[in-house]
Formats: sequence, C-alpha cells, structure tokens
Amino acid sequence: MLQKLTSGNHAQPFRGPISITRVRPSDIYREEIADSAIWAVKLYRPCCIEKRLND
Amino acid sequence: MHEHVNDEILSYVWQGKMYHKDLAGFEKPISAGNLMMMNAGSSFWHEEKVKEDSVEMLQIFIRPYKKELEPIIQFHDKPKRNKDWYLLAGPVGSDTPLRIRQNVFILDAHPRKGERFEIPVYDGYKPFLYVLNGEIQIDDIMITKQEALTDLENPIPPATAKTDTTIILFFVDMNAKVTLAGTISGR
Repeated sequence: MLQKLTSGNHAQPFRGPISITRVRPSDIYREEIADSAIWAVKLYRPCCIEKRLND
Repeated sequence: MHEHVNDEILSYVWQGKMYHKDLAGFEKPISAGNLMMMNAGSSFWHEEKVKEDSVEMLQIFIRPYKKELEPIIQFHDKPKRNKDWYLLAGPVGSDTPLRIRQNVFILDAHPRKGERFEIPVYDGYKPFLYVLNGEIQIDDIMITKQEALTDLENPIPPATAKTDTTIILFFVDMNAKVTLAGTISGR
C-alpha cells in the first residue's frame, strides 16, 4: 500500500545556527515506534542556511 | 569546526553554494551537482560556511553497519538536471560513485513538467521517495516539496511530474546490521 509522509510530520528540534527541518521517515508507518528512522536511513534535513558559519 | 562520529552523511545541495573545510585538508565549494559524502567513522572534523545568498540542501544521515570505521571524505560531480535516475551512492563494493558503509542505495532525478517516469526496483530493498522540490503524482496521490512516499509491500507505480521536480529515491535493506553509535544517526 502506498503511504505518504506529509510535511506536517516534520519535527524541528534544532535551533542552532542552521535552520533545520527534521523529517521522521518512520512516521510513515503510522504506528507508535520509538525509532525515527527507516532502519539505516535516520533522517533528512531539508535546510535553508543563511549567510553564516556553522563551525 | 565540529565533529561527526559514526555517521555516513551525504550533503545534497540544490540551491546556492556551501563551502566545506575539514581537518583532512579539503576545502571545497559544494553547489548543485557537487556531492559530498562524509563517512565520519571514528571521528571527522569539518565546518560549513555560506558566503553568498542562502543555501537549500538536504543532509542525509545513514547509520553505518559498524562503529569506529575509518574516516573518509568523498566528492563527486554529477549532471545537474538529469531527467533519468542517477545512482549517487551505494554500499561498499557496489558500482556507485559514492560509497556508504551500509546497505542503502541513493538516486536522484529531475523530471520536467508533464513527464512520466518509472520508479526502479531493487530486490530485497524497500523504496523511499522524497520530493525536494516541485510536485509529482502517483496514482491519485500528489506528493509535493518535503513530502515522501513509500510502499513496503509492492513496487511504487510510475509517477508524473506536475512541475519541474527534484526527487531523491532511497532503497533500504531493512534487515541490515546497523550501529546506533552515530552522533546524529544514533539518536
């Protein structure tokens, strides 16, 4: 069955120098599991980095 | 600089330019078409700098099969607007430009508006399709920027690009051995 993960399932846990949206691939399972990965692929960070140094 | 440990990290920039510098001596601008794979292993130190405008990128964290592996940095230049699937990265031993210490394959494609395209099948691997930019339709499901789709039982049917689109496609071995020792991937 096709299962969609919408952008509404994103978390944003990082407030540092890079603006990060964290995606929880495991949300696609639609069930309570502690792990936020699809096994080895932990997360993706579609991020918009403004002019700065992430040192 | 900051340290990464036991993470396999693919940096995929699709807009703007990021400057990478590391303790291994590499200093390189990363923009669309330039891929960087940081296999952090036991320890890898680097910094990212944005000098002009802003950068839109995807950072993909993969759990390696084992902790404390050798630190490696890899770079690869690819076509920027490949219409067909381009295999970016795969497990060590596979015929891919970038190597991951894990059973994961990563592909990208940039279908144009109106184009219909097939989603490949990797036997024994589960697909996970992520839309970075644009919008596609699969059956009656619309998938837009920052949305994803999978089918854990069957292959994903063909898709149609509703706009010019950038897509990343993962194939994941759900039975692979992983370590949870990664700074980010282990959380």
